[in-house]
Amino acid sequence: MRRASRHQTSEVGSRIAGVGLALLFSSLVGCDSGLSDGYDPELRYPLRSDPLVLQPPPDVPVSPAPPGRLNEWIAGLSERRGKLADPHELVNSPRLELQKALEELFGTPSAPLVAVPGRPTELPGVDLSAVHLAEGSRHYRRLCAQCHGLTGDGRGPAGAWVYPHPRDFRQGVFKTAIGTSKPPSEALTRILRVGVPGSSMPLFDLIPDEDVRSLVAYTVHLSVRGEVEFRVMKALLDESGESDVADIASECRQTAGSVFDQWTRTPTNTRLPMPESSGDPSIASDHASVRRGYQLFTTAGCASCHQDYGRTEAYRYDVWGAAVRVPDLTRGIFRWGKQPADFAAHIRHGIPASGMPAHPTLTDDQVRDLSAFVAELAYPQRLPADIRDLVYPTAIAGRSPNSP
Amino acid sequence: MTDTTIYRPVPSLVRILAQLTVLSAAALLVLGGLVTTLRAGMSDTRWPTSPTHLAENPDILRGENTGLKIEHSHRVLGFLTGGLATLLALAAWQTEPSRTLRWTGLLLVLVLVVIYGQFHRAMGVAWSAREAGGGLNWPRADALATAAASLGLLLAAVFAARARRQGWAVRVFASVALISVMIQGLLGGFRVFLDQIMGTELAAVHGTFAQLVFCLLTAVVILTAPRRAGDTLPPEDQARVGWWSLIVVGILLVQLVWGVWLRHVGSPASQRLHVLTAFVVTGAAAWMCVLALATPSGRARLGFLAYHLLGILVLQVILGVESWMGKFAAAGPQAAVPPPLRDVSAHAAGIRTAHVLIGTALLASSVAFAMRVWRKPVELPAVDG
Repeated sequence: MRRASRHQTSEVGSRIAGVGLALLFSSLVGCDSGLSDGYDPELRYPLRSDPLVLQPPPDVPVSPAPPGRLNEWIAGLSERRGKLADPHELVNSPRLELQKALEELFGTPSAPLVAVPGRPTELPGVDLSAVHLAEGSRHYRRLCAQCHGLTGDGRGPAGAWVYPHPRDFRQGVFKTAIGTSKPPSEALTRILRVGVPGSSMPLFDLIPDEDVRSLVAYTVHLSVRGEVEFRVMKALLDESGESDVADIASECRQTAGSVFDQWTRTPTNTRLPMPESSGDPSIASDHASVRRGYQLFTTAGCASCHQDYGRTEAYRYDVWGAAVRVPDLTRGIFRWGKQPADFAAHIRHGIPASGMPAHPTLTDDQVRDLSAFVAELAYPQRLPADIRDLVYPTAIAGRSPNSP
Repeated sequence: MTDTTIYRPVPSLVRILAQLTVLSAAALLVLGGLVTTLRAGMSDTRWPTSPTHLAENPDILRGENTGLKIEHSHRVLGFLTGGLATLLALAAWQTEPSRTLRWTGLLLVLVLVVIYGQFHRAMGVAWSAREAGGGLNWPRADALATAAASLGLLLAAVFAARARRQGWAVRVFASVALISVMIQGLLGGFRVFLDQIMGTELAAVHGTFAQLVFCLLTAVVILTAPRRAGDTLPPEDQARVGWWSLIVVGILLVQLVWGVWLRHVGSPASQRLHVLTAFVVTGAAAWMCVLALATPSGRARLGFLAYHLLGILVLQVILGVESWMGKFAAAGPQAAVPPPLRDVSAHAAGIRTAHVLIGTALLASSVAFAMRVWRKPVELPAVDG
């Protein structure tokens, strides 16, 4: 009797185990419809719904957006005399027309295009053909979308929780563009390959060159699409009456042409020839140049933002409406390269997107001196003793906060 | 005076260490769940970092990068859990009656920890080389040495199991748990290290393996519990509930795999399977509890566990519905974005993470239930006079 009952129980158990195995198998079969396939073909790029930041507030922010609340924070900028435009005011027919026009020009997430009338599907170093963009879209979905979002708005699920916030490509503004409107493809490739130190942007050094090229192409696609959307929306929401948009589709085509042309302009070499930093603390730098750089740093206005060489926590609005921390130059973490030539380029041309001004009036020698100082600033043992005492008054002799 | 009706397989210290390890692992799971919910796994693109990374970089906790705070707190708790699992393994081997096997076990645990630490450091060097543009160079010798030390410890555990001396199961499970915790740490690390190649897949494996590790640690706590004569289930109760207890563990495990896959990959298949299996789990667990509570002896020995299981099952169903609504039901602009790419509010993050934690608790409770059902009668030492 007991044996029979046990037998019955185990039979039921076997059946249930069989169902479990069947479920497991069917799930494994279904796994191929995951991330590797990219986006659903039915999916469309949604029209922008977050506020357009036309002008950040004139004041200085005291802190960045609270974690996870970037959108609310930006929406509140108008209360601080920032200038915003609300896409929700665009309703009915204009909204649908804009959506349709953008889709004709730029396709969908799974079948992206850059179909600008009268323009090729190629930019210097960037293949914008449909096949290449579709490849880029698949890689983007897998590697980038969780931070940079579906439309490249920097608002993927992780976007609001990391700081600095992921880049929003939709304004067509890149901090890597030095002295030009758009960055060269090499600059975007470099960011992908080496990452952005001090941020959550990882390096992609293990994927093939072809994948990186397609990712760069897709990023340009998202940026062009986003900028056209931004500009046309801005014109449609303009209350001054200066921008009268009669035909939305034609306005989109025209704006797309203009944005595309900006991308086609090959950036000229704007970098000063500089001796490369050795990175070896035992090699003495040009102390005279560093001393002159220090003097310039304290007199040319650098210290007004980089207070106490950036150690004092200070923020500035960027063009996207977020608050960015003024970099602490003593930490030795530089997002856009740490060679004197990198510093020289940013001192000369500034980083307009984050409020770092250009310095066109400084002579080349002055820029070199400033760059030499900034390059050595994080390494006390490489600074001349008198400058070290001024920059690190409390440092213990022989002990450095940073090692190269 | 010693209570001769109680059998303690191992000293209380081992039990306390096992409980502390489970507590640390539970906190680790909460933060791990939060990392996945907020997609914060890549907030710090560098792995490995040292156990003292947070102490050396207090700016992380003061700073604005919430993802970084959660990820590094998760890593610190990982180190803490690893440390506690090491102490647990050492304490468990200390109880081995055979002097030779005891010292072999203790030595192997220490060797494994040292070699694993060296492998961890070597991965740090490999990362720095990658950052400097030197490509990927695996520290193969360190990896092989770690694998060999792990095998050595497993072999010692096999000898302990064959000898069947008092507390052998604790030593076996504690050894396996230590190796599992180490593997789990590496899975989490490689999820970051190899993100661009197989980050999502490794994150899913890391999430799944976490459930198994937690069950193993829970099993160690149960095995260290004091036993009494006659605390086993009568054979007829065991026959009625036995297979169901194993089936429920199996289905729960499958359900957790779907859940992890749903969270990390979000494929349509995983969405359907997670919902369908939820019905199967609820039915099977409820039926198992009904069977367990059907007799007075079952109620006496399994009553608390059965009611506990039913309670957290109800809670889990409610949390599951809330999580589902928070993830898949959307209005306004968010409705135009695929669910895996939607914003995650703090409230939604809390609900989803609680759902993950209760899911793990459910699995661990079902393992405890099955161990209670299947345990063999204890042989108490004879008392003179």
